[in-house]
Amino acid sequence: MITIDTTMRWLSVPVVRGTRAWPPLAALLVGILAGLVGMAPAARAQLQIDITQGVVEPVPIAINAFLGSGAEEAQVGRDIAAVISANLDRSGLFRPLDPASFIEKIANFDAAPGFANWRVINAQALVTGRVTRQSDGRLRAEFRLWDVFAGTQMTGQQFFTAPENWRRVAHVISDAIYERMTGEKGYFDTRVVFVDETGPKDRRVKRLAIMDQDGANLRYLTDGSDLVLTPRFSPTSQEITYMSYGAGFEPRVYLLNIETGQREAVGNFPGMTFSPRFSPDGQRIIMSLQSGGNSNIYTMDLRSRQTTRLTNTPAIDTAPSFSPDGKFIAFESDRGGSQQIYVMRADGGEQRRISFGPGIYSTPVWSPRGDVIAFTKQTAGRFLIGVMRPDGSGERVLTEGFHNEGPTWAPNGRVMMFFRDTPGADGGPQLWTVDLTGYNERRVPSPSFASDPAWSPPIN
Amino acid sequence: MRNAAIISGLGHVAVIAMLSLGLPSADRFESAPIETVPVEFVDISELTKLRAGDRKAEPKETQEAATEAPPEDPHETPPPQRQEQAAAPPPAPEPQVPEPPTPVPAPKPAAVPAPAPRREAKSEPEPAPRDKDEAEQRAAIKNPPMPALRPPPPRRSPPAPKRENFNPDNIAALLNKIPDQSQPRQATELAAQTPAFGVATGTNTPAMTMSEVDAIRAQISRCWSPPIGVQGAETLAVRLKLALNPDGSLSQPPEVVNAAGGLAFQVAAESAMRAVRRCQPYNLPAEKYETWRSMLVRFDPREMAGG
Repeated sequence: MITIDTTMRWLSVPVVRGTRAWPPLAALLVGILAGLVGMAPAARAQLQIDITQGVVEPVPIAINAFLGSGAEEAQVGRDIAAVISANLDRSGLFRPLDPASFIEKIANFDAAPGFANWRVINAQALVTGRVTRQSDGRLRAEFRLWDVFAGTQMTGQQFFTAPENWRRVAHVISDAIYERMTGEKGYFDTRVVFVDETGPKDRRVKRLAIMDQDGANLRYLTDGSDLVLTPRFSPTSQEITYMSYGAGFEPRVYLLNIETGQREAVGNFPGMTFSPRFSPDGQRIIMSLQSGGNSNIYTMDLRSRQTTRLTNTPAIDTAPSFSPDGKFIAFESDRGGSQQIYVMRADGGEQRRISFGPGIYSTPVWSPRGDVIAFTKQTAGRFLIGVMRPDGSGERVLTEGFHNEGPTWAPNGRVMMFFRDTPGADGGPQLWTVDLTGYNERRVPSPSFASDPAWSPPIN
Repeated sequence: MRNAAIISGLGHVAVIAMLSLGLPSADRFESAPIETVPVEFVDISELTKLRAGDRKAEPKETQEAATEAPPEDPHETPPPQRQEQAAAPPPAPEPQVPEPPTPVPAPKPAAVPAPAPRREAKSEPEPAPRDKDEAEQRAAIKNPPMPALRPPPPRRSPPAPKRENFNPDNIAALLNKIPDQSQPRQATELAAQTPAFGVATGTNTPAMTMSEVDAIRAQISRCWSPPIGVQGAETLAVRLKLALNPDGSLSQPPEVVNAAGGLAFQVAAESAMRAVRRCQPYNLPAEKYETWRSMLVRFDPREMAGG
């Protein structure tokens, strides 16, 4: 029989024997709750404003000619300021102001400038410097970067160097200014190696050439007797790896030391080797090896010359590129029917496709920042260079042009260089740079036609 | 049994504490208080009737009618007040549209109780209804503007209650013609006595209208050039505390409230401070100085960094 308890005795608080602990506990709970409620933050009657949109524009910066004790130093000071101006202007993030508009003439490097004079011309930053010749013949170059609207110095450094090295000092100072103003490492103290092309279109003479990133100090590394392709810098040493088609030889991968000029072939493989690149630690070369109609990816240790095969498919796998931490490799493969981009672990495992858009994807290059992979895409007769995240998402196009190809990253992962063809019988490839945001597309001046650029790591 | 009770009690306290105080690492979720914008629905027939009525009305001297004093009257429909306020588009275009010809002065009869509302809205003429006195507004919206809009003669009266030439006789005349004219008065008097909802952060100082806040935002953002393209730029939100002089210039250097380490944050903070310094002095309403003398500005580049 079921009895229904209507007394609702179960609602009453149970009497616990020895109830000494019970009431104090209840009081404690109540007290804590009251305390929590009372601790609620007092409402602040302060006006709050959210700014979510700004203006994307280059920072106006005033760069003064560096002061010099004598006529020679003054000339070097003017040259250094000119190089810094050109570097910052080329980056697209700064707008060096015309020196003719400066109101104040900086005469004392150690004194603070009159900031009101610089605010009037709307300079947000100010660079002053000085060049002095030391007793041992070396040059001392020092600079200060000022925040005009705050009225304070942002940074100041000094460098000692041989007098003929003044260009490098200018690049290093440009890097310091760039880093202090943008928060990113600079890329001005670097070099670019590329394939210089001269002669008629059907009989081009291709030579390896190297120059500073602003086009100065150009010199040729090979004499043009062999066809050279795809040069790549080593991240750790002054070496370049590239492909060369010698007369009567099948294409081989070579190592070239920039300083000594010494050249050696990397291994002796049956078949053709393509698109060599260094690993981030500079100890291995990764490349694709073709035998029969099949092309697969191999790495080779530079010291032991031992090769390891990474892909084993009947498709064409080529153009491999390491991630900056050395854990992954991006490469191009047509195993899915058309050329697409794949990513695999450094030991060759877990190969998966990351590009899925329409068209043909090729030449993946992992950014030194590790956040994106650049690639070339051909679709509907158009040539595009774009970036996507390593998982394949966020694909966006940076530039479109005739035969756009061959992206290479500056060491800070912010600027990319590539080459583009000009149509016609007299046309030829030219080097171009573009910013990661897709802005600021600029032509890189070269003595003749140029292709296949590769950006060096910072020189140190 | 007692131990279990103690453990359970402590466990409950711990959970309640966590729920109330939040985890230490979590960011405060702060959202700006949403300012309410009252919207009225005006029946078109009322307005057409009104227009028809206007044509038949006999003209009277209207020097005062030309001068509008909507700010004094919190029960006026927001749009006319907004027009006086700033060049910003009114939030409620609907009542706006029929406004221009005659309705503008017409609602003023609802200002019949003008002295009363003026009293309690001592320092907040027209921002009050917008974001403070919701109850008031609701009461006012219920009946007022419509009966107010209907008759042309009411048009004459508004100048009266507004300015010193407040003529009770005129109002009596109005009341005779419009029997339900008293309702808005009751509503407002009632509202004057009952507490209004308002905003949690409201004070006695006049709040900034949305258009004024937008004006500040526009003035600062046109000078702000954040460092986008830097890796992780979208996470670098900078909060600055500004102290301003009455003329809109900074009285002291801006202070970074959410200081964090790293060069990237320092560069972001500098770009925010440079923006604030470049665009001073700011053009802000002088009568609300107490409200904007100290403000917290948050620079968040998340929307700009497309990635």
